[in-house]
Amino acid sequence: MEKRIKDSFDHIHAPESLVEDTIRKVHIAQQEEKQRKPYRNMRVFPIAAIVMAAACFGLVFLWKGILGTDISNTQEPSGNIAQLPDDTINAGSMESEEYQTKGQQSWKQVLTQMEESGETTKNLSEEYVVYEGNFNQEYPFKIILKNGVLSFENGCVIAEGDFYFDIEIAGKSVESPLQIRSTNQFSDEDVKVTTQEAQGEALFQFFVETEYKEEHFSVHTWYTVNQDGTVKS
Amino acid sequence: MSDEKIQDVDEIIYKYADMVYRIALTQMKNTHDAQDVFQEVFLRLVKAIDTIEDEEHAKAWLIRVTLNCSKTSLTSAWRRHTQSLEEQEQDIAFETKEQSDLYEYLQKLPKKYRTVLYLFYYEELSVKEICDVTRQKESTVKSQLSRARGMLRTELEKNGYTG
Repeated sequence: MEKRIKDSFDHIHAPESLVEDTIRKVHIAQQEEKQRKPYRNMRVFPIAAIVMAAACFGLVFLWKGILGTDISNTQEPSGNIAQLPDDTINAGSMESEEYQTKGQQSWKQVLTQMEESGETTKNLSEEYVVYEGNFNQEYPFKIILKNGVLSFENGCVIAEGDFYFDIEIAGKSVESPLQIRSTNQFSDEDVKVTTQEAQGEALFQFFVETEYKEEHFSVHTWYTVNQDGTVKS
Repeated sequence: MSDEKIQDVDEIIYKYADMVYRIALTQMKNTHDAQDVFQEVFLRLVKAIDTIEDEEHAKAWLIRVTLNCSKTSLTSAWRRHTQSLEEQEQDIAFETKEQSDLYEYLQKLPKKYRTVLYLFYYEELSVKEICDVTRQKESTVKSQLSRARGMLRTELEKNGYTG
């Protein structure tokens, strides 16, 4: 059987045109990555310059302290300076286009911060688009997480909070709350996809996923969306 | 990203193109969607290339991401296409009827069985390695393999193939 299976798959090859086209796209993506880097550095540079100037300023105070000035007055400015780079850089990254439009990227950013700080749970201060889709290339929809909390549990990433389904119908955005409260509530079994558009209803299967350091978690559930955009669970 | 890295990604694409395409096709049962998954996997690789440690890691990463991308694509209603087995087989040059029949029987198996059979027999991954890439328990993978073999054997015998 082993030989038969091997023989059968041996005849399947990635089309050459597909490989070439992929390599071309990969090179474009690499160039874009390359161009993005100087932009990131530009954003960091003024912050670094401010920090350095402030640090020098602090050193002058410290020097004065050593020379006889009251040292308690000199410790406070340097303490403030130490907090400056982290806050500023994080805020800059979260506000960049890349992280605003891609919910998964935002999560990644938060998860990285959590790992660095050793926290096991994190309250999400912003709304996150956990999934963006476009049904039949006509109805753009999003799954939004509000008042979210991300946590690590037994090596898995769990997102909890208020999930909303937001669909744009006839130029109007309709937001409906979903019953789910946690990504733990979804099943990870294979589900056959069917879409019913009869009687003005569409049956959506939500498949929420994110990746963090190759750890992949995915969740899906079913909802029926009425013609007016409201959700029937 | 250095020029050396650009070369690395190209090398990985050339080396694992067939593997990624076969897994994508096994999952999607559709050449159009398999090609979309194929491109998505390698575009993701561009962002992850700095985390890839060695060849073995690259292979495991590609298998896992291909399975994940396929799963995402399969569950995306707006991306779903259908393609008959006959249409698929037009894109694959089988030498014998037996090869084409076996491919057909494999494609008829449930997705999870197709996946383990391909990884075990073709990619020669151990049960432990399959567990790692599919994030399943060892007992689950073993039972899937056993059931998949049984189903395939039954199908072969039913159609006059022995052994």
